[in-house]
Amino acid sequence: MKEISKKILIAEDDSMLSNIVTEKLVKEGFAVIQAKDGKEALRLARTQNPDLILLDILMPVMDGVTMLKKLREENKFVATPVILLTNVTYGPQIDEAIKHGVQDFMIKTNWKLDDVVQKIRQKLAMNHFG
Amino acid sequence: MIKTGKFQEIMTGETEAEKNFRLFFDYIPDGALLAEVKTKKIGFANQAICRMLGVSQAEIKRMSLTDIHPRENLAYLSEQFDKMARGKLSSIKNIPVRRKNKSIFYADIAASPPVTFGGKKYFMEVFRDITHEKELDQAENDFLSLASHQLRTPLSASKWILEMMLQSGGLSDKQKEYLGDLVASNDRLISLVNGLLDATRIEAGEMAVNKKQTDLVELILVATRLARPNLEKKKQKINLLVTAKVKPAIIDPMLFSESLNNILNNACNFAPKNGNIDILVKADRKNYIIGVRNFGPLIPKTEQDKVFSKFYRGHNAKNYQYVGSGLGLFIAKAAVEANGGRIWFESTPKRGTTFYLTIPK
Repeated sequence: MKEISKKILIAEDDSMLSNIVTEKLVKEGFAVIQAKDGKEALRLARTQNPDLILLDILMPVMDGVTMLKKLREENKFVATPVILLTNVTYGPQIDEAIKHGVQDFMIKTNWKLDDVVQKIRQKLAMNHFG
Repeated sequence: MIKTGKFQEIMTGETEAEKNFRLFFDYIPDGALLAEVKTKKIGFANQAICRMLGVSQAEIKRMSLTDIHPRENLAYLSEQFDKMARGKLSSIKNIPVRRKNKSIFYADIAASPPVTFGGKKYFMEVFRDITHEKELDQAENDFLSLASHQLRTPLSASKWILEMMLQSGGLSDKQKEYLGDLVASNDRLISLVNGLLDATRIEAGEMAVNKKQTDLVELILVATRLARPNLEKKKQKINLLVTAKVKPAIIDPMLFSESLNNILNNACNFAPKNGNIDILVKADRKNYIIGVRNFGPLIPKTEQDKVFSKFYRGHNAKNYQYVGSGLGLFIAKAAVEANGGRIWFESTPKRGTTFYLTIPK
């Protein structure tokens, strides 16, 4: 029986970055949904039930932290793993995101895509075993 | 300094000195008022504070200090005013002040020790409107946040696209070599942008410090692992010597790692090929002391006072093909000091160059 691919939601407004991450994750066997702003990410999370969310902070329409706050208000997303994938390195947005249960925080320029994939696998495994 | 008795005479009498002081009090650009110690009622106020609050002299003399601050801050402020009135506190910063039209501005408030006249005790408060400074701070924060994002976004894209290209297969050796060079160049640019943004944050006083119990030895080992690619290029070796029992310390681990990585990076760059870099960990009564030593070129005496300056690169850096931004040690110093430590170096022919940093126990 074919194993069902884990579903990753990428919330990233830069299309070049979003596409390259998607290409990498698909190559690694994941199913990927792309959102270009926080509002779209929230809508897609509700309809697609991702196993993990890669979340940028600075996005138009609705930023990542606002999206995360609204997501965590819904019972079914209280435990959904969220990895902040951002280039904002400090400030109140990071503190707010950590308060709302971000599982990890990766600065895009400091990590290879292979590292991002490894982190995703780690978080999914942790979530599976509670 | 005006003595209490003379102050009393000046505020209530008619002499030349009294008139001159009243002129001075009235015309200083910062807001100033005298409030009764017991009741906090405002007894005297200058023109500047009346302008700041949008009130007349007659109106302000019917007010007390609690009338000019938002209600939600009163509990905290009453405590501070009591301390000021007793001469136990001389200033408070970033305090919200409410104008007659209910709008708020922020001020730094300095207070004098209490003085007595007319049988009542007063203390003087001087208000400095910091609205402009706060706007500049906010603009600076917004710029830093935007700059870190906007500069790093295209760099992230290049980094990841190059990674995918190198993994895609079907490349000739020459193509892989060129792409490898591009990766290194991109990483250098990322490092430079990170350094510039860190330096800007330091100068803006925006270095966040999050202290927690930290295993120092573990962080030192992580730093040596991170340095491995550079070490392998020059066939260098790190020797770690720990001569103290190192217990966990309450520090910001990211700042500690940043400072150690920068110092270690510097040592790797200047140590000769096949050379050794020694990391020494010892302790005195109050601090852990970490030394990073290399036997590369000495730091010339004429340049030693510039070593921790922004963009300092030694004259001999070019001879050693050291390509760096000149920000590493500037950032290391700020990170060490933010953790409550000290940083210095010794550079002598017999013992090489050693950078020391301390961590409070």
